[in-house]
Amino acid sequence: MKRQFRVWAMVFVLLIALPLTGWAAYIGGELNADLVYEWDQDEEDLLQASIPTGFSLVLEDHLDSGGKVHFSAKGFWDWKREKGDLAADQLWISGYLDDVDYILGRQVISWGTADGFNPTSYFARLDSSALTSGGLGSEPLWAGQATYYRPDWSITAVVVPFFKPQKIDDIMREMMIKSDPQAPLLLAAVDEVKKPSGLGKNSELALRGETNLAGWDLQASFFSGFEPLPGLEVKFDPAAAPLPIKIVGKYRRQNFFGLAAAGTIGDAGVWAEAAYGGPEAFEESENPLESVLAVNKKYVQAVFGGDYTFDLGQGLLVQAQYIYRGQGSLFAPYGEKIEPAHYLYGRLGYDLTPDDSLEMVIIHGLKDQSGLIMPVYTHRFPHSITVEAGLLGVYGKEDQEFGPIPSQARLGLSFKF
Amino acid sequence: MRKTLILVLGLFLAGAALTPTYARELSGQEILDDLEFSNILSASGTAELTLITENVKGVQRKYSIRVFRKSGDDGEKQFLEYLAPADVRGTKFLSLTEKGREDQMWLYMPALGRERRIAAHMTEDSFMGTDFTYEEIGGNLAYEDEYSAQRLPDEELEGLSCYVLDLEARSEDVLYAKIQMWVWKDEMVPLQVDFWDPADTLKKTLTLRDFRRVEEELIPHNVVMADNLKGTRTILEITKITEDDVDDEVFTVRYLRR
Repeated sequence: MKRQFRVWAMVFVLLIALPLTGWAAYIGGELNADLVYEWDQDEEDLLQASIPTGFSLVLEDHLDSGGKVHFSAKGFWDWKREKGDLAADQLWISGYLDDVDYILGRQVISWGTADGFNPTSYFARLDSSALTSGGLGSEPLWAGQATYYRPDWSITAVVVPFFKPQKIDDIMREMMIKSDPQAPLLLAAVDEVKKPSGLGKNSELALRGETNLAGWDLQASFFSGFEPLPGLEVKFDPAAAPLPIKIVGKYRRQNFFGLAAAGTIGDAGVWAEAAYGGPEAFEESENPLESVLAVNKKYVQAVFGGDYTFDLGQGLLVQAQYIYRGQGSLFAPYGEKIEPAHYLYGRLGYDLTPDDSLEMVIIHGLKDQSGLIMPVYTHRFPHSITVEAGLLGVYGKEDQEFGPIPSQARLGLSFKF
Repeated sequence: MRKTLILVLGLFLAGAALTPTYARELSGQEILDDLEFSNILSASGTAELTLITENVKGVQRKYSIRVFRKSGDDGEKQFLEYLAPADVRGTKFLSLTEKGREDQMWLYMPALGRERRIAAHMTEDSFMGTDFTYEEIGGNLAYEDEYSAQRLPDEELEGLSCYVLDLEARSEDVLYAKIQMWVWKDEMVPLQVDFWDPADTLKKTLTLRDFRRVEEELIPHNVVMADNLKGTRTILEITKITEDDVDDEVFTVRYLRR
C-alpha cells in the first residue's frame, strides 16, 4: 500500500510540476474501461467477470544533445474483482552518437520479425492476458541497450543486470490447474524458487547483428541468460511426508542462437524466425522416484508467416503464421513428458470505413485441435476515442490445451490524449 | 529621330518574324512537359502537414504529419511520422524506391516497439485510410511517360484561364485509365486533376489551391482529394515546407527506431 501511495504521489507530482517547469515536451496517455462477461462452464449463462478501468501516462522530452528521456506509468482497478495495480512502467534515457544509439533504463526490448510470437525476442515474457486480448506489447525490464550502426549492417548488445522471471498470470495459473491435478504442487514449488543472486551472477546478455541483403532484412542473434520459468524436478527426500519426495526448482542458465528474416515475395509480406538452444540440463536420475518436470534438452522454436492484402472493398488483410515450440505447450510448461507443440495463427483485418474496422485472430493448436477465435469490432470516434466490442470464443474440450479458457464477451472504451 | 524610326522598324520586323512561333498552339504533350509542378510535396525536403479526412457524413478527422523526402536519379526516399492525434502519434513509415530494385517499406508502431516490414504493393492502396494512394501522397504528377496527352478546348476555372488536357494511359499497368487536367496558363501548374477508371467512371478529383513560391518552386498549400465513388474527401494543408537537403541518415531503419 505504501508503495502504491508513493507511485501515486510520484505521478501526481509529475503531472502538476512538469508542465509548469516546461520539462516535458510531450505528455500523453490513455484512459480505458472495459466490461468483461464470461460464459459459465455449460456455456449457457453469461456472467459479469470483471470491470477493469485503467490508465497509462507517458512523459517524454527530447534532449538538446540528441536523445530522449521517457517516463511512463500505468495502473488499473477492477471494480468487480476489487483488485488492481499501480506501477511505474518505463523509465529510460536514450542517446544518439555518431555511429551508436543507446537506451539505458527500464525499457521494453522487442526483437524479431514475426508478429506477436517471436522466438528471438529473448527478453519478452509470455503474457497470457495479453495473448487473449490480442495485445502485442511486452513487459519492461531494467537494461542497457546499444546499437552500433554502419551503412550496411548494425550490431546491438543488450545487458540485463538483474534477471526478471516470468510471472504466471491468472489465466495461465487457471489453465495449469484445470489441465493437471498436480498443478497446485508445481505452482507452489515455482513460488518457492529463489531468483539467482549475486553481483554478475544474475545478469543476462544478448547480441544481434542485422543487415539488408537483396531487399531482405536479416538478423542473427545470441542470448545467454536464464529460463523465464524455473525448471522443476522431483527429488527423493526420505524426510518428506506423506511421500518421500519433494518438488524443487531452479532458474537454469540457458543459451540461444537465433535467426530472423523479413521481406516480400511479389505482393506478399513474408517472415521467418527461429531460435535454437535451451537450459543447462538437470541430471537424469536412475531413482524411479525422481524425475525432471521441465524441458531438459536443447530445442527449436520457430515461426513462419506471411500476409497479403486482397483487393476486396477497402482491402482485406490476411495473415497466417505457423508456430513451432520445441519446449511444449504455451500454457502447460511442466510435465514428465514434454512434447513439441504446433500452432497455426491467423489474422483477418478489414476496414469497413476509415472509422470502423473488423479484426479476427485465430490461434489453433495442431496437437489437440483446440483453439481460440477472437473477433473484434472497433469504432474510432474523433478526438482519439475508441469503442471496441469483442468476443473470445474457445473450442475444444475442457481437458484440451485451450479448453480451460472461458469464452468471453468484452466491451471496451478508451480515450487517448 | 531617324535612329528611333529604325529601331521601331527593326522591332516590328523582328516581331513579325517571330509571330508564327508564339502563335503556334502548344500541344497537349508540350504542356505536360512544361508543367512547373510535378509533386504535391516538394521532391526533396521536409514538410509538416495537417491531413483532414472527411467521411460520407462530413465528419472530419484531423492528423498532423511530418514528412521528409528525397529524390534523385537513383530513386525516391520518404520518411513520414504522425505527430497527432494521440492514437496514432509516433507511428512512422519509411519507403525506399530504388531504380532496378523492388520497393522496400517499413512501418514502426510504438505499441509494438519495433518496425515491421510491409509489402510494397501497398503503394496502390489507400494511404493510412485517406483518399490518397501511397503513390499519390508522394505526389508524383509526372504523367508524361505513362500517358499520352491530347489538348482539349481551354476553359476558365474559378476565373483563371486554363489549358485542359486529356491523358490516355499508354498501358494497363497504371492506376487510372484516363486523366483530365486543368493547367493554369499563367503559372503552368495544375489546378484540378480528374481520375477516371477503366469503366469510364470519374473516380477521384484532386484540386490544388493556394500556390506559394517556395525556393523557386510553386507549391500548393491546400490540396483536396475527393473520392467521388465513396463520397469521402481528404484535405491536405501544408503548414511548413522547405526544400532543404535531407540527410540520408533520415531514410534508415535506425531513424525509424528513434
